[in-house]
Amino acid sequence: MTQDAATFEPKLQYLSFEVSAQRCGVLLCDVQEVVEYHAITRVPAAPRFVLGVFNLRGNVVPVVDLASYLGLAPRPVGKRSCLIVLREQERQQSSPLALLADSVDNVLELSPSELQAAPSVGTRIAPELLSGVATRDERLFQLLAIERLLALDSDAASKLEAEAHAAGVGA
Amino acid sequence: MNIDRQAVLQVFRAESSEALSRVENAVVALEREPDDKQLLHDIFRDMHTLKGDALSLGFAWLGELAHALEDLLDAARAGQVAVGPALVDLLLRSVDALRVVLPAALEGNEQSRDEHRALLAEILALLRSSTPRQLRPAVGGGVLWAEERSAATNSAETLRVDVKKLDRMLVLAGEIAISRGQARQLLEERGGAAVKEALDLQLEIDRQFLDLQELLMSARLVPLAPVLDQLQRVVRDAALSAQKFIEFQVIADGVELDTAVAERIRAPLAHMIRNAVDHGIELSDRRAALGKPGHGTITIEARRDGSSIVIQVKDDGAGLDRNKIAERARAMALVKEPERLADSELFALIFAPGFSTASAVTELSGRGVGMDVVRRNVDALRGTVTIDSYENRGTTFTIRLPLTLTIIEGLVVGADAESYVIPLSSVLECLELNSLSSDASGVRGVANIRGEAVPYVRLRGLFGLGGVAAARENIVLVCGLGRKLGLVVDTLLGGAQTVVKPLGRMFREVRAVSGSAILGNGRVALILDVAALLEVVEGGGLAA
Repeated sequence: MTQDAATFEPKLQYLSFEVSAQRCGVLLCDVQEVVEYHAITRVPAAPRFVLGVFNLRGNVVPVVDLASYLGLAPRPVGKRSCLIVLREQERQQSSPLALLADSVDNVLELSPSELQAAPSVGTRIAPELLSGVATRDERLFQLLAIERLLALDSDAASKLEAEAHAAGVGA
Repeated sequence: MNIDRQAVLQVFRAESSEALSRVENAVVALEREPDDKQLLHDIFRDMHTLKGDALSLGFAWLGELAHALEDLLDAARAGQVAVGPALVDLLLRSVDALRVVLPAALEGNEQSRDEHRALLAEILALLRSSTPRQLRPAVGGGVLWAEERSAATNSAETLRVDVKKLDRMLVLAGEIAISRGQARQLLEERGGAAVKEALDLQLEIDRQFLDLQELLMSARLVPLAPVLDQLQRVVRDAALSAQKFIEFQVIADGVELDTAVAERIRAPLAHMIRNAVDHGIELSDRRAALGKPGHGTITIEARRDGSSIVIQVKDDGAGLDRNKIAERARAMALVKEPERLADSELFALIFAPGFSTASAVTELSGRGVGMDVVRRNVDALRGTVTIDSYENRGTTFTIRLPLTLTIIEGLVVGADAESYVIPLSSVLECLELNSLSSDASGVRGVANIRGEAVPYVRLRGLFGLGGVAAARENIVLVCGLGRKLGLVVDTLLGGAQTVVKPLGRMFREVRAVSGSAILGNGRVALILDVAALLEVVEGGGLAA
């Protein structure tokens, strides 16, 4: 823990993980759980970026291929691959959604002042998919815009997808 | 305190909406039997309860409306207000108004709208003028009734349960079923005397569990008759505005089906009935010229058939016009030579999207707008709809629905590493493919089944699974939308009864799949939608 005692800034907790050698983060409060990689059932003609569904204790949960969603080259599933299950968001009436990541690292505590807007150039991930970035120990953490991911499950999904496609993301 | 009120409100919501349905049906019956004092009494009692409940919950405006209606009904009972078309009309409009005021009150924005205040004034005016005096009907026409009342009002001890709770129980039962299967497999693999005893016990538990699961499923079933009874009002209103005389019969004694299915079949049925009234039944003079009874008859008959429910909507009207349908089909380029089609195939064309949207054509084709919507609704319930029609004798729509959407009897098949569930209701037979077709790899083909050419599709290719097909492939013959199709798979894995899990909104564009199921090995298998598969194979894409 770094000390910011003087300013009493509340800390934000992010789950940090790796996708195609990129360090990413999502707010810990958006995460329901992290589970090891499960066999995924492919769904024909599913939306792009969606690998399929898996059985999470009797619930059928869709899995997003985070790498291709973010426009990165997907890595083969390995020992450390895992599924980050995002919490249901009541206001969006979404069901749980899982993200396939290459590995999960740890929980990162950031003070709001450490958060920066995603630069329009320079990140490997398109800025519109990010809520911001942060640097820690000279490493860049790209914080994902969770609403946009969850919108994959909403009526706006196809529209967003079309936009993303037009922007060349995930191609 | 707050929670208590929420619970009370929930009960009030359910009971009052049931009361309004009862009142509506009784008022419509009163129109037929104006001298039936019991009907008047029943309506009065429901209105009295509604008033009391509304006032005790602090819904002043709702209470005021209900109070005025109660007074009016009391006056009618005392013979001070005539029971006739004017009263019936006013009461029905009041039911409609209460159906608006009630949910608004429950949501906390109880307001007296202008039209409802006008209605109250009308009620009070009728009360003030309370001398027995027959008021003239505004519109001609009317309804004759010969409904076979179901004895649904036997007040057994019942309990209201949130459907979500029942669903959760079913999901848990499904989970237990999976663990059960795994435990049994484990025991069977071990062998030995001690294990034999455990296995016997396990089989006993299995039997008890299946009973429990069946009970849980039946808890979701509700009687169909009340749903069909609500269609009386639809017939009455449609008959009145079309100035036709219609006799409406409901035959659905003892038929039960899943509450979710019951709720979602009402709108399509109402649509079909309106169409039957508007376009099926002829005007009286036309009927007289044909030597038919002056009033038309619409019958809704429901019965259970295995694990399906069959609902038939029959009218004794003009029937569908082959020539007009063929004409329209040619104009829309739906088929090349429509006049050569068999009746059932030709009539099925009215379900085509856009077939009957233009009003001019609607009149000609003899069927109303939106039959494609009806078919889509029925499809979404994993049902089928077929038509029989004879000129001047009438039309019968036959809807076949699964008893429940929660459980599916399926055949599990394997293709590549994936498993799929095919609804058993649509499976005709399973055969080995090799001798039936010479093409060993194409996605689509035609198999020779005892001399009949049946189109088939390889799931492996259709779903882009990749890999190499098994040396011995199997073909599962299925039937949907009245047509045959072969599904080529690697392996047949046996039958299964599974809990259906919806795939979620993310996959709502995906055709050919109606949901998912969790198999005994814990993996998710997709449930194939045979009707949609047929459409996909016949030219559509996999995504909507």
